[in-house]
Amino acid sequence: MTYVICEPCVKCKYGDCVEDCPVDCIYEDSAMLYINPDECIDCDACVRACPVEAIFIDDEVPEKWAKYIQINADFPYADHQPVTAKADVVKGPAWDADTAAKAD
Amino acid sequence: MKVLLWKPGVYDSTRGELPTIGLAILATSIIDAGHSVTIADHHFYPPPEDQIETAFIELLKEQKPDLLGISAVSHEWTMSRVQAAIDTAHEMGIPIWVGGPHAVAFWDILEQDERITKVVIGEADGRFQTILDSEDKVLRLGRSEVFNEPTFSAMLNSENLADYPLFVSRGCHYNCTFCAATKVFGSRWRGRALDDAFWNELDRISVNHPKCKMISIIDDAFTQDLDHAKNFLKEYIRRQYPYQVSVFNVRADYIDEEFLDLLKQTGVETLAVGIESGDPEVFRLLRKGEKLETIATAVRMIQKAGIIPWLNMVIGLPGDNIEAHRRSVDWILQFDQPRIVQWLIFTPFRGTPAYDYFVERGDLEDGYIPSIQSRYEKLPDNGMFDSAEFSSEAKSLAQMEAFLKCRTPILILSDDNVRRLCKKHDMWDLYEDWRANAPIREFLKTTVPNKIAKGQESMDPEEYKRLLAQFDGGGEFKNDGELPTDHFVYKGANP
Repeated sequence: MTYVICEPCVKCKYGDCVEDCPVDCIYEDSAMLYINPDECIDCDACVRACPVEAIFIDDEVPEKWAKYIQINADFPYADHQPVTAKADVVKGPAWDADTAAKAD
Repeated sequence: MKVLLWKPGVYDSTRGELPTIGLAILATSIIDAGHSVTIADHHFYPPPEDQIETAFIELLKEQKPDLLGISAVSHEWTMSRVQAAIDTAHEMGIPIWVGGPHAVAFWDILEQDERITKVVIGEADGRFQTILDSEDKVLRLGRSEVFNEPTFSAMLNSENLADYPLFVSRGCHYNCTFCAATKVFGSRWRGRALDDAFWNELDRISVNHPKCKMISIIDDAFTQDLDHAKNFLKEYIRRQYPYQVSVFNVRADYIDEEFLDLLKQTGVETLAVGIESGDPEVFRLLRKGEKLETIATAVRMIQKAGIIPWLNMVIGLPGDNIEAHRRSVDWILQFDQPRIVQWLIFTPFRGTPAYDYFVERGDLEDGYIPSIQSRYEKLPDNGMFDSAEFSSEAKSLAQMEAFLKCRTPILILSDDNVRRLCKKHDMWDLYEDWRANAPIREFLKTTVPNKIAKGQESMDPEEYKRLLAQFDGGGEFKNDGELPTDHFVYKGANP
């Protein structure tokens, strides 16, 4: 089991999930956020934090976003540090102030 | 300043249960701030039955505290004697602080209550002065950076403390949809430093509580860091403390053989595992972050280690109905004896996704407060509330059916009622199978006397003799000290 970040996060990256992840297993690049499947403990906290419903447990990922299971798995985690504070997440162009305000 | 802290309690049968650690931790902070404090924990040590309505008001008038702090679950809060005590304190001009589960669930209602001065949510360690100085009525303290040693000696009747509650860690990473723990503590797990201060707390138990026989580890997730749990157990064993250890609960995916071996060495007899439901869909909706297969493996590992698995199951969770419940029973029956299966009827906690599930479907009105039920002589429990998928009566009968199928002996305490229901609902064959095969004799000869000796069971000795006569040809009432002594074996049926 692991959780997977899917398409709604692309170019968006609200970053609420990184604050709630108890084991700091969320990473980022300029495109989106990623969950390291080797570090994820399946606690479900990130799902509840995400304001755009981008995160799913692996066996419930919508078929249209199934490729994101592999995208999350393939991220070069060893080359990056996890992102642990929402303020450190670089917002994407699809980031929307109203949605962010509702999430807060 | 003179502070009085109160845990109202529900009824006399909780005598000897664990003292309320949150109040004892707050007491430490009060003392550290230079004030005096008394704790009246009527859950741990209730007044005599004939004084229960008036005892606290009399104490209040005798003590005339400068501040009253109350920790309560919602059912306690609704009791007339509790409301009368609050009215009295308010009339006496005493500021009233409320904490505990009711404050977590119903902080918004309490905020409107003019009698209440502060509503406190979160961990109290080192926070008394912060609460006192705050101008907010509702304080969300969240998790504390420190662990305070609880001052149980501030508790009236603390000389009777026989079971010492201990935090080795706090918090839980997981966010199970029915659980309120993260509402109080957040979802960060924190291990307590196993340093001199920690071991000094255990060393002092023999001085402050000479009647203590057991240590109960009450962590939300004792094994979240398995190495931390093992390190605690290894040092506990090395120091040769005389207390039997009881562990409230572990996650099935955070145990291994070494851990179980260490537990066994400390005297652990039973180990509780929260399963909740063996039905795959109901289980999925719980978002426990583990698999039923993992739990099954863990249960067998516990049995192999010589510990009796105590399997906590819940009836009436989101998505549950009679068909799903029967799948859950069938799943549990895959495990051979020895095992203890506890079937509880779900009572949703306000603020959790499971509570919202039933409110959104119109099964519950927001503000629902469940009753407390834990007297086995009244089994089966009432079904709490009707949902579209599972009526209250069906849940109650489902609990009885599950206990019968699991051959759980406690039903003997409610034998007349169980007989009547089995006849009425065409379950007589099941009743006879249970009666012939459940370990009722062993239960009556060991567990019940132990509970009565502790003053936790209100069973009439004549009734006990009558029951025992049916299974053992008679016998004197006597606590022979046989196992099981773990209080879990006879734990109340509500969290």
